[in-house]
Amino acid sequence: MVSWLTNTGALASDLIAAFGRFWAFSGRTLGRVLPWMTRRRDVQRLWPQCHAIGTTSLPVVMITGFFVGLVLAIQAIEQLMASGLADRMGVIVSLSVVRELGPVLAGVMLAGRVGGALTAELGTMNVTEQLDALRSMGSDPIRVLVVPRFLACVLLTPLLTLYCDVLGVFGGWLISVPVFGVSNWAYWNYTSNALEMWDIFCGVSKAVFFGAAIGLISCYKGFNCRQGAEGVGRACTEGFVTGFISILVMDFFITMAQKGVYVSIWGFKTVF
Amino acid sequence: MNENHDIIVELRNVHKRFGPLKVLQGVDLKLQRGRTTVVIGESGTGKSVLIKHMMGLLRPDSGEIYVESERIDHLREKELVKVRQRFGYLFQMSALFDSMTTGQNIAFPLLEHTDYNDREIERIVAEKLELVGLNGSQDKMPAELSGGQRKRVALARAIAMNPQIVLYDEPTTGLDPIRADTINDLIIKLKHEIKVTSVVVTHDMASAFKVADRILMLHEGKFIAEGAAEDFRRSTEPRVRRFVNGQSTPDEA
Ligand SMILES: Nc1ncnc2c1ncn2[C@@H]1O[C@H](COP(=O)(O)OP(=O)(O)OP(=O)(O)O)[C@@H](O)[C@H]1O
Ligand SMILES: [Mg+2]
Repeated sequence: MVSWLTNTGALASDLIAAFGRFWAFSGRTLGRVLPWMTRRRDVQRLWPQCHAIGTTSLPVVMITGFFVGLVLAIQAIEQLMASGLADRMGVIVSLSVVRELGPVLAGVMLAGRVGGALTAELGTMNVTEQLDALRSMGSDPIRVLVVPRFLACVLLTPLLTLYCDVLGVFGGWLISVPVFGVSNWAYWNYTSNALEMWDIFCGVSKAVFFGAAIGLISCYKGFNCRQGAEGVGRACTEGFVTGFISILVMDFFITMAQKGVYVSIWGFKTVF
Repeated sequence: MNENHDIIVELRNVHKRFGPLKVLQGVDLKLQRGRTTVVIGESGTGKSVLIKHMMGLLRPDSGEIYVESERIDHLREKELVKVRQRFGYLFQMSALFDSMTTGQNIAFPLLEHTDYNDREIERIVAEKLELVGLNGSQDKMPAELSGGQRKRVALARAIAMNPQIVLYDEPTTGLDPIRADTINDLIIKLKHEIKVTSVVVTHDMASAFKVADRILMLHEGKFIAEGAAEDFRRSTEPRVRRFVNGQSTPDEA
């Protein structure tokens, strides 16, 4: 009993210490962003990262969005047809995708696809002493390695989310209009009436936070992994799980905050 | 010249442990300017840990470290940048950046800390590669090189900025005897031509005897023997004799 208590206590204090280290790491990264922008040779490191993160993730993110759109439409169409609301299909699909499913699913895909690759890359650099080599040459690994990767994640997650959204709405259209015979005009007309700039802003701003979380968590895990191939593998798994959970938790709180802001400015509004 | 001026790096009673594992247990060391100090010792006694302390890559748990009479063990990373520019560090496993070509690896510190234009950087890269006997391999990726070639590229990178002090972690391990001897000659040449102060960690006694002005033996976290190459050849201390002659005791077999 006592040993169980002390074990739990030790575990909790380890967790709190790790949490503190993560925030210190994040703070140092954010603090380096502005000085980083003033050096041409540093900024040149951003483009290859954007390329690595963006180009390679585009297909998976688009496929995700497309199939989510299809499935949403299939689930909703019969109910709406039975109640004579089939014209509003676009509203259901586009609001769900743009506000919630697009950013969350794109974020989760990227946490696996990009986060895993970043942790593996930096973790390998860590265990093969490349991070020490950087320090030995008087360079700051956070400035050289983390800042460009972090910024690439922050910039590209929203962009990829938009692609995911577009494909989702298109998937919904494909089921509703050609397959179930909803009027094309009605689909787009109700969609554009219901979907406000605010919804797009909400989705995209979530994606900015998700991108920041993916970048920081995966780089942190890579920088702090244990020795050996096993250490790198474990860091990748932990990075993905932490990233995934952070995205879901952040989504909840950001949604609450956005609802609060919306209601206090425009009041409550129905979409149908 | 007074004696203090001659000491370029000094360690005073340095202790370092990793969790329960005590690695350094009271190390005292003075490096003389322009001389080559060789550190020998069994695998795992903390030779790499020791030289990492000299440039602040690791921090001691207790004890003091001075570089050019400036205490460095409590400096922050940012303040260490200036100190580290005096050093070149050849890592035991080379630690080349594997996403960059050989040439980009060597150019890296130059791009980070100097304003040289591309032509000048290319020239320096070619010159350093020639020094280590690898001319023309600027565009190879580290993965395409053999272990010994990687080590020589890493050496070229370590001396790219013409450091005053070079720390060599096993510079000849994994090289054939002829290449190993070129590296020995290079260490000696850097000492004579640009007055480099060197620390060489090695298991290779032939190399140790050839380059050393002074040899130190690290054992269980402390220096147990110190002297010129001759002293080590003639030493009667059993642990030194066994290391120098490469004999194992029955309980190590
Ligand atoms: N960052 C670290 N974290 C934990 N333990 C470490 C760390 N660095 C070194 N050690 C441990 O310290 C001990 C000494 O390591 P070190 O690399 O200095 O040995 P060495 O004398 O260089 O051996 P070799 O000749 O095999 O290179 C080893 O037991 C190693 O496991
Ligand atoms: Mg070593």
